[in-house]
Amino acid sequence: MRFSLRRKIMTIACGAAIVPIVVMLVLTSVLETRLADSVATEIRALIKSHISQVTSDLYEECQATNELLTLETERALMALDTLLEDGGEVRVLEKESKWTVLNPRSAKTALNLPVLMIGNYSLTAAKRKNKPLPILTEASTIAGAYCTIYQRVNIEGDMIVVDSTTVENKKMTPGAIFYSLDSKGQRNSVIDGVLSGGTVYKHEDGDDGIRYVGFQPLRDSGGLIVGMLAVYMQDDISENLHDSILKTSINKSGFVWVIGTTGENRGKYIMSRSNNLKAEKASQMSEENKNFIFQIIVKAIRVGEGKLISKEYEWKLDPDKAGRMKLSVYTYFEPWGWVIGSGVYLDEYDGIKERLTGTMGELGKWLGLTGIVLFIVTLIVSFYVSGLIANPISHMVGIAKMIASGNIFDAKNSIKMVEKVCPNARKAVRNAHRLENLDETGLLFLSVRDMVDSLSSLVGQVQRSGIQVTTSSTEIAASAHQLGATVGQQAAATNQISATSSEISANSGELAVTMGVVNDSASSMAVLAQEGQDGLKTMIRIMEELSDSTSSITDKLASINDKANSIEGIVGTITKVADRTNLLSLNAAIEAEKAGKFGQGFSVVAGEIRRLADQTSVAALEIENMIGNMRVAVDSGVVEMDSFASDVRHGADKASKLGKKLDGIMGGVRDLNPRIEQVNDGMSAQAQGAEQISDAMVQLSDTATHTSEALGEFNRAATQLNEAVQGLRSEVTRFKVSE
Amino acid sequence: MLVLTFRIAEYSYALKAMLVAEVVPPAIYKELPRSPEYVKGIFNYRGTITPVVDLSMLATDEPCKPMMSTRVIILDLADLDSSEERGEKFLGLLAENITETINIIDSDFESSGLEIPDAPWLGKVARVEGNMLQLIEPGKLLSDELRIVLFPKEDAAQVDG
Repeated sequence: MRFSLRRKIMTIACGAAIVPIVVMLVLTSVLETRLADSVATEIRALIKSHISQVTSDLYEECQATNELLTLETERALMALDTLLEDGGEVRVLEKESKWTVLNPRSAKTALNLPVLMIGNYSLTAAKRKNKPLPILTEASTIAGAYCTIYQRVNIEGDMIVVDSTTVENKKMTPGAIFYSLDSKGQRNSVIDGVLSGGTVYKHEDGDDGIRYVGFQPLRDSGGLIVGMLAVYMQDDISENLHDSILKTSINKSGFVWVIGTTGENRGKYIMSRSNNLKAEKASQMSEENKNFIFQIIVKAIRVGEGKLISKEYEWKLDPDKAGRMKLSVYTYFEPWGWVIGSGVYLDEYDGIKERLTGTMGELGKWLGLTGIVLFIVTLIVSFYVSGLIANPISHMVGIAKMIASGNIFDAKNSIKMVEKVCPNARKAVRNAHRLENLDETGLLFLSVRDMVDSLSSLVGQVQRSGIQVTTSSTEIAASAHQLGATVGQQAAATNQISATSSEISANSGELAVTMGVVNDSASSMAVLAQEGQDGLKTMIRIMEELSDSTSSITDKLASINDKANSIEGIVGTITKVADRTNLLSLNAAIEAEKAGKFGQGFSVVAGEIRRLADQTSVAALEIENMIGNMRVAVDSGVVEMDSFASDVRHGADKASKLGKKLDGIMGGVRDLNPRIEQVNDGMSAQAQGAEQISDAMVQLSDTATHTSEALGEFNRAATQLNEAVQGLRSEVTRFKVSE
Repeated sequence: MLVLTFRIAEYSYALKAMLVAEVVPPAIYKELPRSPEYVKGIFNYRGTITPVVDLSMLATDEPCKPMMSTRVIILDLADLDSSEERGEKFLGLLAENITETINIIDSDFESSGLEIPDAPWLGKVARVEGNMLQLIEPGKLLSDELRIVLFPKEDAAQVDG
């Protein structure tokens, strides 16, 4: 079956209406499940926290009560102690009285004891029977507590009750003995405490473990412990607590329970506010429940006092056939050995969940209904709209088919017919100058009409042009032939030029190599000149040093000359002195001669002086001679040194001149180098240029060849074009533009 | 007898030490123009104007060489002429190589055996260590003519008077 455009449009519209509804249905169901789960979790948490709060409140209450009890007991004991002190002296008489023991450990029940006196009252079995001491009664009334007096029986500390205000307490009835050893032979801690002189407090099993008893030693006037006092509170406090606990209720059937863990209460309900206490009591008798309760006790003690533990379990009471799930929270209260707990049945909370599910179901139902209504409406609307769209398109399809078969003339007629028949087409023609008012089908119609017109004129034009193109392509082919011949000639000329330039390039290359050799030689010459110049520089330096040392030698010779001069001066002085001495000796000798005989000794002295003067004179003469010789030698040395120095200077001048000449040579060589390189570069460039020209020529030649080939191609293309135009013309004739 | 030796040309001569007043180094002389060549000039000897006679010039017509040992022998005119007063007038004799005094016994001197009229002042001769030593007689040294020149007449007149 053909799936027409109209059907497609309708399918899309209906699908668009239905799919959101379906998706919403699915989402709703998923959401419902999730919501139910989260609500259940939330409720469970709420229940748990509520129960935990209740349990914790109960625990706090028990603690407060215990503290109150402790304080009250201490106060009562103090009150009793004070009253006894005021009551008079405590003493034990020699005289004995007879007691009947209520809890004997042997067959013997009679016991003789010395009489205990407090003030004027003697505490004997006969006198105190059902008639306690007035002091004791007073203390009981004031403190609201039960008071008891024990008398010490023996050195071990066994105590017998001699007076008491208690009722219904067998342990504290006169005649009952508080043994210092228990049944297993262990010493009692209370007795030991009292005997050591202290006050002892202890929780006892009575009143469900709440009872709190204080013991205090009783001393006579000598300070000996002759007995003890015991006090515990009357039952009001524990009863108040019972009432308070039992009043606590949770939801419909939730309640509070207390289980004992010590003594006779172990594993038993101390309190439970069940709807059916009897049933509760009965149910705990079953073995299964007993075990369960013991498990709870053990866990509570292990976890520790005041720590909350929650547990969920199945609980079955007699009237119910099946067990119900129950959630409990419990904790351990140590002073009284209690496990305090509170619990509720979970099925009581199921109603909330059911209400939620119902609402969601309602929502689903309404969604389904809406979906159906929407579907019907969409079907009707889409049927009408799809007609509007599909009809014009089917007309257009017919026209397109005619164009495809080449019958443009028929297509034109068909368009005119459609314009008369189809209202949409008429509207389109009317509004052809206002395109913004038209819908897509109108535009399509106009476009197809224009297309047919254009196609008709185009095909006519093509048929005419084909003939013209055929003529032109023939002309082109002729021209191309002529061009091909010319290009051939050009290629031959180019080849000749290329050969010539290759030759030039080769010559230039050889010349460049030769210039390179020349360049190398020049470079090595420059290196040699450099070395020569370095040598000369060294030589000049040495000569300068020589010149310097020569002048210093000359200076030294001059200084020797100066010294010789000064020595000469000294020698002159010596000579003068000798001369004068000689003169003196002469005159002396003459004077001595004149003196005759008296001058003979003096004449000898004068002779000696003269000899000395002579010797001095001779020595001076010798020195003078030597100095003369020395001066001659020094003078000649100076002359020689001068001539040597001038020679050296001359040599240095020559060397530096030589150096300058070498510099000139090196400069020349250096200048030569770049020039040679320039020439070389020029040569290379020329060679390269020639090569490039050669290459270019070859390329040109190649290009000419290519051009020639391309012309051939072009020629062929022109022929092909001609053929193609012929083909086109025959093709175009297929289109029927006129009758 | 002690004699003072000196040299004229290359020969040694001597003068009796007893006649010598003093030997002094040569000084600056004031030349006397138009005097005989052997009169060297006058100089100041201890405040007294004293004429100096060049013995070398007198004997050999050669002046004394200017040397250290060329000295002036001062004679007291009283020793030559008894009419003169001692310490009043002196005569200087310039001679070479005046460096020695020699003790010679009087008997060693002998007469030379010659009498030279132009040199009456040459005296006896002694042989000392192989050399000849001739005494000079200072009394005959000054001719009358010379005496008039050196010690003018005025003085003589005074002396005479």
